[in-house]
Amino acid sequence: MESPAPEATWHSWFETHGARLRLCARQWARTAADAEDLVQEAFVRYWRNQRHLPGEPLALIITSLRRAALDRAREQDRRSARELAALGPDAGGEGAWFDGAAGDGGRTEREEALEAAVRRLPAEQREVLVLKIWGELTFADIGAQLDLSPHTVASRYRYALAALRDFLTNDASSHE
Amino acid sequence: MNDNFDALEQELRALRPAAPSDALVRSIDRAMAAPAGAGVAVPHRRARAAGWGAWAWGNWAVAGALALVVVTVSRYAPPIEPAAGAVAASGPDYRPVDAARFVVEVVDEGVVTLEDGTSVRRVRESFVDSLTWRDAATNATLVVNLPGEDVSFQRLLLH
Repeated sequence: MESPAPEATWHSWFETHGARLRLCARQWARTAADAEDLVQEAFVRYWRNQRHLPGEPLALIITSLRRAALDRAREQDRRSARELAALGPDAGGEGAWFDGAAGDGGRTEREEALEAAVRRLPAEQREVLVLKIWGELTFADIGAQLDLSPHTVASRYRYALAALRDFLTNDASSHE
Repeated sequence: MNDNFDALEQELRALRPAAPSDALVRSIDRAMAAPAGAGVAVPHRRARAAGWGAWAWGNWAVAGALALVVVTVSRYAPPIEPAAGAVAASGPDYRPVDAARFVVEVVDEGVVTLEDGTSVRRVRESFVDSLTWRDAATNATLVVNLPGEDVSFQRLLLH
């Protein structure tokens, strides 16, 4: 992916890549609202100040997203537990991570099961899966992001797929 | 163990990440429309007040020290010698390897009332964002330090 052309509008770029950025942020953030805040910060920062810099735009923004998400999680841990309890689990609005393929606002049972399974993954497997499948980063790029070897990234990716298959298989059996 | 995950991968790739909300797009629109360096007050969201002029002198000293340390480290990083007979790449291939935020100062500016009447605590945070790219072939490192300031509005617990 090349850097956006100087004359490109942010609207068109964000329309193409915004959903993927939101998903990457969402699987690191505690709420949907936090995820959108992170996307706004990282994207505006990139578009205003960093478009001319070398490197893949999506990888650069994802790097900023992850760091900001980790910082925010630490900040939230320091805040009063009572304040956080007052916000409630759905204060930020949970919302779905994926839209239905039909595009009519509905989702199939299988699509819902896939999302539920992705959400259940351990965080370290889920972030590799999300960056690989929807972030479209290579194992090398993901390794650079997470300070891991490509081999370790590939292993986590396979473990994630195996875990997903187990979740989906067990869920299907329990519904029979 | 059956390691063939092709079908599962295809299903996953077919899932469409949920589109960003209209509220997010509007918020980004406001942020992009604001002149560079101006703050954008967005209720319930973090407002960015990035501006070099807004910084206290102490923050500049810290940022300068950070920049000096980072530039010094990258200058003295031992280069990786290319293998004999290796063909030089057509150009540098920088990839982002790190993004860090160094918080310089956090100031609690007290309770304020937003446009909708909600009382929140306003917190101003000064920081330096440090972005690092590296070319694995040459070990050349590019570091960019961007000072900034964030204003956040935190909900209060009121009984």
